[in-house]
Amino acid sequence: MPSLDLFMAMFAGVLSLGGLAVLYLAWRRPGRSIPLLVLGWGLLVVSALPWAAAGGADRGPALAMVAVSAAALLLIGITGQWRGAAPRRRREATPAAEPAGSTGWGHWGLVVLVAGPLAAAAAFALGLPFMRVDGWAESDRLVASAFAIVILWSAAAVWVCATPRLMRATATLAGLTAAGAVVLLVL
Amino acid sequence: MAQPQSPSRSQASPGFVARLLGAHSALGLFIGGVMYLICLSGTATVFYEETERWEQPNAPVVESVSPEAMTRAVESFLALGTAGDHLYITLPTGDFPRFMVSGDEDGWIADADGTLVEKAEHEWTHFLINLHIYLNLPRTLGLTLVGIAGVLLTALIISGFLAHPRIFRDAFSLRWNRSPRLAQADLHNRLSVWASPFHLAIAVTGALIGLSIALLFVVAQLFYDGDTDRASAPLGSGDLPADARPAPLADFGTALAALRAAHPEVEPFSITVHAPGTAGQFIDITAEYPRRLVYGERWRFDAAGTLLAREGWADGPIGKQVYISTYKVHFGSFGGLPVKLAYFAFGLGLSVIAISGVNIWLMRRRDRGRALPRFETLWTGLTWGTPIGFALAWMADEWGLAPPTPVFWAVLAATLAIAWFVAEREALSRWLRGLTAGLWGLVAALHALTYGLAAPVSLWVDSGLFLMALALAWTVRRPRPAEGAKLPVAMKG
Repeated sequence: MPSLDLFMAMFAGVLSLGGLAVLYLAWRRPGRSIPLLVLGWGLLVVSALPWAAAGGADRGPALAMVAVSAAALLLIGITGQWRGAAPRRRREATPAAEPAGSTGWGHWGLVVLVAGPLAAAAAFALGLPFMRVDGWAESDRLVASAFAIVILWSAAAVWVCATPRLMRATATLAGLTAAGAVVLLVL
Repeated sequence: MAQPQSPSRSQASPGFVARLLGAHSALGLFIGGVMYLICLSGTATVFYEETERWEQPNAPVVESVSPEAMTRAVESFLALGTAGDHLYITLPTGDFPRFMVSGDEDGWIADADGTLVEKAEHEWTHFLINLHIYLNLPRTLGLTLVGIAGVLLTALIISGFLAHPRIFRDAFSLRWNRSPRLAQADLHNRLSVWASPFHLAIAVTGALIGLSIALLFVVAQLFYDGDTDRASAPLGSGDLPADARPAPLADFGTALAALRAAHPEVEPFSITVHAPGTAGQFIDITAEYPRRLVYGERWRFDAAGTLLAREGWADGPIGKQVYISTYKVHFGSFGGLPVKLAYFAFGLGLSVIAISGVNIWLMRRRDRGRALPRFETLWTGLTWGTPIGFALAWMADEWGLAPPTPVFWAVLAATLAIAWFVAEREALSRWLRGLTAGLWGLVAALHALTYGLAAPVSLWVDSGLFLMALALAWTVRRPRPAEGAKLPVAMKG
């Protein structure tokens, strides 16, 4: 069997590009068009099926994502405003964004410690209980734990960096770490 | 670090958005430089098979190899006495038409008849891979740090989406002709949104790969009495019991023939003989399923070529399949040249995102009268010192002057030192961009002069490098009208 069914890939590509084109048209309209947005996203989602048929159940959708991303960036490159400086509009004066909370070195040192080692400890403590799930293959438990740890650590890092109440975040993460450790001991 | 491009009309409260934007800035500033090194080296690594061939472009191209040729090559290699505990046979495939025999220390490229032609010398490619995976640090430390960078990249993606309520409403805007800050923000946000499946895939898989040692250590301590071999066994079989008594070399030819007969749909690409020439030796053959994301499937044979077990990477538990799919997803080796080109472009895009994110933050500070001129020049030094270091590392390796790794870090350190002392940022940026373009043009020219362009890989890679150098030189020759004195050099990266 060839690695790609060209006919099916072309059909899938037409659906994907169609979805992208509809989203672009929706974006060009002055107001928000829910039907066009639904149609555009719907076509992109539905195109995963022929992509799967064309390139394999797991590989096909991956090919779809690459194709849609590349096509969208190409479209933006083609339609972008590259030349002829337009008058500066008010909306270009954007709000400033500084890292949240205090900007002292002590504060940021604590943020690094909480978003790093403590958030990692909490993520491990909450992710590792997947290793105790009955009825799953060992590899499934291991991989589920690993994914959970990565996602939980990332989310915790965002929260710690964003919160104005760093001590509360610290206490929460410490508590979650302890709770996860208890779960691991009890299960 | 990008900003929303207009006041939000979403339901998210301004305070919430501002805090998330602050978190996005903090994370980006903390990891931006390291992220850029990982991204740029990873971008080059997408084509590692091609750059390995490009480093020795006139080595034989082999489309298929007979069992007799395999035996001849292996016997010749073993006669050198450098095999060690493993014998690796790399079979030619469509993506990598080379026939190689390697041991634990070194490897040789063979022709289709099994004659060893030249020693495999891929120092520059291996330097890039080591930079991407280990940051050129000791392996466990480097891998773990890169894994943490993967976690932080995932955090940046999450915070980036949450902090930009208009990110979908502005999905197709690219206003390069507006203020430099808006242009950079549009570039940052558009690349971030539309390549986000790629970003998320490489961030999460990179984190999983990078944290694997730490994770297995913890899992082994908690669930397997500290035995890391048992902890990792669910994902891949370990070694069989050793028996060091001498024995004739394992019959890998019979094993390969048996596999091809039983599974004509797969493409074997690697044979490993463990403990070759001992009574405990055994054979692993790994083959690719062309329509799957899994890296491959592995079959294990005894020394006589009798099947012992199938690993189950392609049809085992879902966790095993997901785990073994991380490689192709991370390196983009699941769709031939088109996907590799897309990954290369997305990788460059992510490098641009890393640079532009910090640029936007620097511009914002400058606009508010709190400029950090030294930081700006250092950031410019890092931006361009990295590709300059890659080019000079190749030259030093090619001419046998020094290994690529110390050359790269010395060049990067020198560029940063120069940037520290240069006050005129615009001139520094233009000068470094010009130097980068010139050096990469020189690399292409020197390679073409040294090896010729007869080998297709030389023609394509040298042409590609030359075109990229020309494109970069064009940006030096024609600065954007909107830039000029108002725009610090670092803003252009």
